[in-house]
Amino acid sequence: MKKIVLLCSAGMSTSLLVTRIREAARSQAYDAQVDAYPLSQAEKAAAHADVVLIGPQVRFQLDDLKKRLSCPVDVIDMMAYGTMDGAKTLAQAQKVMGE
Amino acid sequence: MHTEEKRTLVDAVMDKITLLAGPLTTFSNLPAIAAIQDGLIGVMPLILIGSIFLVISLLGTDAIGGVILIPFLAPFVEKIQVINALTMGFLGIYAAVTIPASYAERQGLDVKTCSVLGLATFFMFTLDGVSKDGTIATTAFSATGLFAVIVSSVIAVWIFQIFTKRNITITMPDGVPAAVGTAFTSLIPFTAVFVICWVIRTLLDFDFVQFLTTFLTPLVGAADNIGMYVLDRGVSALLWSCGLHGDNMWTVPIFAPFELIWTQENSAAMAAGSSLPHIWTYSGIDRISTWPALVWPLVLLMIRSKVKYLKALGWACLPAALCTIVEPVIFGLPVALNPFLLIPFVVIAVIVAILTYGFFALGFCAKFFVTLPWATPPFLLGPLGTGDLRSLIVVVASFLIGLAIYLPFWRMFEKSLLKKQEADEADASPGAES
Repeated sequence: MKKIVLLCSAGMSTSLLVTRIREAARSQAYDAQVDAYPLSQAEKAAAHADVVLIGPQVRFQLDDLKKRLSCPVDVIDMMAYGTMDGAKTLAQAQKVMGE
Repeated sequence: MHTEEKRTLVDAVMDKITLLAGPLTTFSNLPAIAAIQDGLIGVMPLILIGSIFLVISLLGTDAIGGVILIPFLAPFVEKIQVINALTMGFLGIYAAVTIPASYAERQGLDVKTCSVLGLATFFMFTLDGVSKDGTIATTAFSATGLFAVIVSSVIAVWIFQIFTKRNITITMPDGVPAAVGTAFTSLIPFTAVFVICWVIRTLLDFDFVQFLTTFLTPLVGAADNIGMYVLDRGVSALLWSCGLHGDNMWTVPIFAPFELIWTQENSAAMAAGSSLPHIWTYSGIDRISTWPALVWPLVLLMIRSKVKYLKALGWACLPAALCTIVEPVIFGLPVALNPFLLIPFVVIAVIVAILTYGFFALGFCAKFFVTLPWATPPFLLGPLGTGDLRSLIVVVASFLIGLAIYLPFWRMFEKSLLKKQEADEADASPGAES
């Protein structure tokens, strides 16, 4: 099972996207655990993550997070994020994990 | 050709804002600054609980609207306010635990050790012992002590880090249990930190909180003015217009400590029944005006649009937008880097900031005395946070001003999308056309 962690300022707007990603994963029979957290809990949230995706509004944190976290980190595509496109975000996560 | 031209214009704007974003990012990612932010987030539950109990207690007084709303509560007002006094009122003391903890976490130091060190350092730094009858001065425990907390926390963890990284510690020989070893490891750095603070506070009798109150507080208080507020809102909107979290990047690292102090001072004044000193508070006037003006009109315009995907997106964005969760609109519509909407977005932010601050400064509405969760819908946040229904005027007026300014820009934007939609439809059904 893959663990996908989404981070944004307060974990609220990414939590809207989480349900869509879970739905997309279910329809593809892809075994993944998807959760959203605030940036302030980055270390704890990403402890066992396979990939961390951050909201585009906090993309200025990317370099800092890459330094602090051991798993791959990427910024969610703006359009996918705005339209809450779960399938596209899941595909991005899979790509970042090298699948 | 035409779109290319527009893209370069947006690029030019983007470049300018990236120039601003660079140093801001560097600043907010400095370990000490980031630790202060995370530490303050850590005390938010206490501020919110303190706020809620203050609101409940005031329902038993005539502080809101001049009538006692829940007479049953009247005899318990002071008792209920105890919860406020010990949570929100002791903001400093809690931050003295959470800021060192966040700092330690970021620097890879032991969190528990640094929390204890941070709290003790705060006491050493602000208190000149316990008086003979067993009392201590609690001034530093409130938000007034917040800057002292920031200084003592950062110094404590910083010195601790220097000592441990350079191995200036007592190391136990092999065979001594690890827990015993850790206790001794801390001895030298702890002693060094405490002695420094004790020399400053007790021997030299330098009271940092007193010093700040005398010299810095007038400056801090003066920062609550219309110019700073408009600057805050304008830069934040500028960053959001590039799809960057303006509040997280600019407002919180720079203004949050001030806003929290102002909120607590208003809250204490409200509990004491005196007049409120501040207009600008944490999650106050900004949250009942900014998003109702900048995002709500767009949601309405989307819902009423002839462009099919905008209509669907508008309905999808509505519930989150009412709670001021605006990312779906910012990135979905999108507002971010949208050449049609960039200009009105920033212009509205500035105009509404001026009018909102002015409205409160001229006394048309009671000031915010508590802070509530930021995602509280503005039409609830206003009345609950100020106790004044006239705060709804701000919400409605912000929305209408936003709508009026967006309208001409929206028409241009929509026209460009309608053209595209028609072209797409013609492409999709070429048989029907011919």
